[in-house]
Amino acid sequence: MLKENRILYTVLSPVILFVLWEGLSRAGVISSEILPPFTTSLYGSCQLVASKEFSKHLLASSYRWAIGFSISLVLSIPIGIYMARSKRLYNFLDPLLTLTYPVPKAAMIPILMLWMGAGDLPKVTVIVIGCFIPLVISAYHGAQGVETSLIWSARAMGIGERAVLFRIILPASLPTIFSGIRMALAISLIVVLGSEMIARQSGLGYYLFNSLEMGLYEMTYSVLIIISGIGLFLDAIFSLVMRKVLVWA
Amino acid sequence: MKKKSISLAIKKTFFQYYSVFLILFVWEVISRSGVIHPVLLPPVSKIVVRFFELLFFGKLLYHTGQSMFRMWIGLGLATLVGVPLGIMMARFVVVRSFMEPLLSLGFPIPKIGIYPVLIIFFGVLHFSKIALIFIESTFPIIMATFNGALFVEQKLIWSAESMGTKKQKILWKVILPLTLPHIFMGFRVGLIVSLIVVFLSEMIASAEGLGHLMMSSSRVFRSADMFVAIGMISFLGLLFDRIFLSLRRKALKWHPEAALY
Repeated sequence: MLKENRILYTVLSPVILFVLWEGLSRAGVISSEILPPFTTSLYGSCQLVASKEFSKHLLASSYRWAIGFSISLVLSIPIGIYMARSKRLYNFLDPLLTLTYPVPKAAMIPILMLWMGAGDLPKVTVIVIGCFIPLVISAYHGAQGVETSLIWSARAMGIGERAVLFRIILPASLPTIFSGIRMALAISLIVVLGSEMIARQSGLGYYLFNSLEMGLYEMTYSVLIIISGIGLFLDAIFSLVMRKVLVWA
Repeated sequence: MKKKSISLAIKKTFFQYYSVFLILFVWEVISRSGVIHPVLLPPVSKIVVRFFELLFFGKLLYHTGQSMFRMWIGLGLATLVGVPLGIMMARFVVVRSFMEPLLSLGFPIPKIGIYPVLIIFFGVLHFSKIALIFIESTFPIIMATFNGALFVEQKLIWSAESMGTKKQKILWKVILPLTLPHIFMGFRVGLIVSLIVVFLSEMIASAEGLGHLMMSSSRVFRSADMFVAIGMISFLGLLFDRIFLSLRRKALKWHPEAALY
């Protein structure tokens, strides 16, 4: 009984939301030009995914996101861990990170395009920059929080520097690193979309705004549904990977 | 004696932030020497000069005011809605089971994607931006408040109740103060998020505000002005964050873990 109620409640609010969307539009309370019915928009997103024009933009965005995000992971996690080990690097980087923390990273796209031209390079770079700070800080805090007694006892048993790094520090800081990755994931999506909305050349952000400016409101909603789907999909994958990797935690 | 301590403090800050000064210095030298064309990387000194020019003879104050107006209205509304909602979620199972799926559904979605839809509904003026800021910053505030209020020890509420405290008073005297550290944490995230979002939304579609200043300068290659705009918003972010931290320290003086704040 209680379990059934739980499932009912979990489904209830999203269902109410979608029914409200559908109903308001169908009943004409809100003009369907401004708010097309949910089913129509959903059908539109299916059509979009199948179309060649849209998949080109989808591919451009995901390709840049994948490269930028991976570079940021590979670059910032070692830096963060090394920051915890070396006082000198910490003293150098910490003020820089504090000062650049509130800078809107996606907003740097015009400056980066001034430096690197109009190709993919500035768009990948802006993603790398956007994810950099949360990843470095989480890796730093993770490695900083490793109990020194663990390292000592490992050393006492004659384990080498490298093994200490890979078998103690890295695994012990993984839970913190993962929470940083989750934050970076959210930020990276904002940066991808935001920078494409500003630079308006290709990609999902461009496509979304283009549909708005051409007055194709139905398409705007369809693209929005796809973007939300991507966000949820990436988050689900992340949770899956985290559960697999952090089985022991 | 006092003079000495001031010069010592200056020395200390200088050494603490030496990397910042180092980078600014290298930046200035590279730009002045012409290795990188000054249009691409204007010297720091020129950016500072442009800052004062725009401040006194340009419209920097006007643009800043526009951005701040939007940001604070959006963030204020988010706090007004998010804090009661978060507490209600923790206290009432109905609210919680209704809101939780919406939150977990909405959290991973990049909210900036909603901006075009908000423009359709509210136009390109203040309203659409305030709405976007509200949506973006309300999530961290609700989540943090909810998590905080959820872990208020039931024992404390019971003992207040057994001493005859009224429901309303329990809220103000027990639940709210104990949730405060978490509310502050959520607000701090919302603060930075709202600054970023106001700037982005103004860059995407606006005729005023700091984001617009950045975009309009980038179109005519006034690169120093671009750095002024992005520098201004970042400076405001740092400033608000610092002010907020010191206010929080004052507000949480009574807290058993006050040393942490």
